[in-house]
Amino acid sequence: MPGPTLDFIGTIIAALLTIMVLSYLIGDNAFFRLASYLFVGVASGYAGAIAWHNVIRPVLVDPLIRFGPSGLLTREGVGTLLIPWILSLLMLLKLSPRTTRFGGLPVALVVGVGAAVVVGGGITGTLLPQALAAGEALGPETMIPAAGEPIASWAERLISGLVLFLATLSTLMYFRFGARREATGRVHRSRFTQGMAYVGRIFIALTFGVMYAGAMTASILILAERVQFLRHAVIGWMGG
Amino acid sequence: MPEVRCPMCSAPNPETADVCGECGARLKPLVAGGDLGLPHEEAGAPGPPPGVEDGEEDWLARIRSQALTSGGEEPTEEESGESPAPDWLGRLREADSGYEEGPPEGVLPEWMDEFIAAGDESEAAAAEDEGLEQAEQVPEWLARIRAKQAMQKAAIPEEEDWLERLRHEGEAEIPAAEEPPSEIEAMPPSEALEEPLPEPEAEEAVQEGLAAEAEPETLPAESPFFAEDLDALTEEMPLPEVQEEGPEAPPLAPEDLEGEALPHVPALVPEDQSEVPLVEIGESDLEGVELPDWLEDLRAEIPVSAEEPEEEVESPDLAPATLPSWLEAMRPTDAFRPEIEIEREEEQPVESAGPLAGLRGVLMAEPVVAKPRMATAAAAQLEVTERQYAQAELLQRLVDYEQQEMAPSEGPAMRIPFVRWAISLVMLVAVLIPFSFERMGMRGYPLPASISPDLAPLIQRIGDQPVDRPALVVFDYTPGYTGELSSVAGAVVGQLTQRGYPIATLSTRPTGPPLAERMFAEAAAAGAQVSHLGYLAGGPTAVQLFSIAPRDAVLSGFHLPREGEEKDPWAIEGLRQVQRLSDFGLVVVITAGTETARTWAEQTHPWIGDTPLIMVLSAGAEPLVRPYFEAADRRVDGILTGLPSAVSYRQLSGQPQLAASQWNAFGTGMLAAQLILLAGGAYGFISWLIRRAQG
Repeated sequence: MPGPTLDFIGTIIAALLTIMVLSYLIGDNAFFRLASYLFVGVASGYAGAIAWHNVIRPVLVDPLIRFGPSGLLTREGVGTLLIPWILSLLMLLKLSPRTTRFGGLPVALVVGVGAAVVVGGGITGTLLPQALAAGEALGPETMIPAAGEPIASWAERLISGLVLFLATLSTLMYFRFGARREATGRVHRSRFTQGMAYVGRIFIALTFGVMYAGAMTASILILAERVQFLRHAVIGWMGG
Repeated sequence: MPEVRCPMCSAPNPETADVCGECGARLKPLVAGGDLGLPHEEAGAPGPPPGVEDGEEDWLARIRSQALTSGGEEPTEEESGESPAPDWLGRLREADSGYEEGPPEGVLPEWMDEFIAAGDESEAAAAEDEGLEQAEQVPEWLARIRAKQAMQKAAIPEEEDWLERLRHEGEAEIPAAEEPPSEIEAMPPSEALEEPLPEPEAEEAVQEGLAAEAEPETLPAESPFFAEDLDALTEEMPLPEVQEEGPEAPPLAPEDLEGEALPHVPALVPEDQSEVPLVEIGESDLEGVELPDWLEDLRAEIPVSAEEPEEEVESPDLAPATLPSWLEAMRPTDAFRPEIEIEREEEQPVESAGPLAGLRGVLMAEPVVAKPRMATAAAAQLEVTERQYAQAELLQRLVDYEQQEMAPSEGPAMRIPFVRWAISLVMLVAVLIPFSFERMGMRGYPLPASISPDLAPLIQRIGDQPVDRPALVVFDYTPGYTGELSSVAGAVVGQLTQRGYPIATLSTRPTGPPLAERMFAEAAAAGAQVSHLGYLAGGPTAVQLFSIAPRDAVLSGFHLPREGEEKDPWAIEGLRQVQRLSDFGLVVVITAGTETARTWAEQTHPWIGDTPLIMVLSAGAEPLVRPYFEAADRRVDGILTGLPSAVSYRQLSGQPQLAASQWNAFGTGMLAAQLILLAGGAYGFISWLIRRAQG
């Protein structure tokens, strides 16, 4: 089948699926559900195919075919072929309730290694740099104007540093849930903590507002792109 | 001039006065039998009260005179060193000394008979030195009551009355009450009542008692009777019974003195209650005495119980046990009859079951076992707080709700989503209108005039990088964001292809490789060197592994050229020199999620070296990624987000602009969204004002 014909059919199908998804504006209907099921099914199948082509075959199957079963027991094959095969087979044992406990070993390995990587990266990549950045907001470079620097520039930097420090501190104090218990049994936070938490709540609200605005902007851009696509599809279908 | 003290306020008044000059109280009560003048306290010795006929000798005056004759003058209160008594006690004394009209000489009153019959000679002889004075201060009615109680105590063996033992324990602190006189102990209790002494013998006993007054050294310092009186009189409690029950006993109300109202212990209730000797107080005995209010109430109730003593004298063996209130509260209250009437044997039912079948007079277990009874007072008084009560109510509601039969629920009412339709229609029209701008002769939205200060350094950074090293472009977003990110990332991709970078694509999502292929399809068709490394499985761990050793993390590519499909993807031209992440000339991450952006910023930093990391973000992810860019130790070297920035980027980098229809549609769509938000906010504010006005 010639290429332009495939593109044309693909464009028509894409346009129909787009209209089916947009039909949710009217309400939940069969067309929207059909489009959703199609997307989930196609995405899953495609992910399975990608997993086979990019992971299973090059990592497990191809080496086994290339080196044969004897390659599993070689010095190099034990680490790169035998152990991956054993862990993969143990993972398959989780399919059966009777043998699912044998699949705990690869799962534990995956979870443990993943947690260690995430925590380590979080500390060195996010926690320490952000804490240092918040501390430098009120450092000498921020507080003292440079030689010959305009006052407006220095004031802008100073205010920015103060706002950054206040936002960081107040937001952290908002998530500090420690409180004192009075003799009457009532638990309350100190006035300073309450005030800072209130300020932190304002900064958090501003952050979520900006995120919501960004999401709305992205959605409008996507809608405009889809409407433009439909217009081109209709024009193409009408032969324009 | 003789004075008369007012019984109410103790103020001195002339003897002839009928009412008190201070408080107006009557000094001469209206009592039949003559004038009951008050005694002459100033005389020091009690003389015959005025108004008493000469032929009638005051028996009490005789006793006093004899006592004075033998013991000297009666000391006054000040001389005796006694503390002044309370007002009510003074009134009692006055009433006792002035109002009482004793029997004629030689005739003993009834209470004296009983007193003598009880064999309490020591009590009868208590009219010695200080005892005589106290006897004058104690009213006769009170003395009778105490004498009667003393007789009852003597009549009931201590071993059988546990309550009396309790009382004695309470009285143990009183030294004078510890040891009763030997005469009382030696005398059998029943003899005192069953064999009353004849009057001559009683008179002799009185004479003996009076004779004993002359020998005070041979008598105990304080007889139990007067010791008890002293304690009772010095106490402010009005009832002697209360004072006898020990320090823990609460005061009894005057109405408790009534026999019918007194609680009884069933085990101690005699078969015939009428035989119980009660206090013999006649109405005539009380008429001449001005009594306190509480005693007046008692006096009004006395006739009811005074009818019984004639029958009660017959069998005074047992007395009704009076429980103090604190002991009564501990007593289990049974629902069944507290006193079991024992029927005659022929009237008793025959046992029909068990080993005692056929026998009469068998104790019926049914009243004890089968019939329900009330719990004890302590267990019945369950203390429930308001919170517990509320929880119990809530639990009860839940239980009741579970038992309710649910009515068949009607489906939700079909509501037409007018608001949603209206907003959808407005947004669709808003993004469709720009396509007609040209026909309508309208100009579209101008390109953004203000350019973000972050764009110029980004463009310069990409433009300054040497093109001998490949650029890695990571597609980490789902197909749903293609409409946005393809437009935004197109600016960076266009600059990369424009400069001739060898490009390698990668994705940590299975749907990423086709998106990358689509993005670079046009560039690849134009001859650009593009290699798709495909899908990188493993999340953050795989990213770190790729940063350390890209060749070990990616073993196969995606849609590689057919001739290289079976080969190592790193053998493709442009990727051969790559051994680690820092060997790439540029790393661009296109993502719509903050987690993915953070993963790449965190995991690649230790191994990325001087290679710049550029983030192309969806508009919603920028706020959480920007701190990595603005920090002093940057983890991200450049950010490009949003369509306006992409348009500005194309302007600054000299790339062809997007279609005007898309830019205009984005502008009208944003305007419509802002108008809808303003309308919604105004509607909410007005609704709030209306609700507030309506209260």
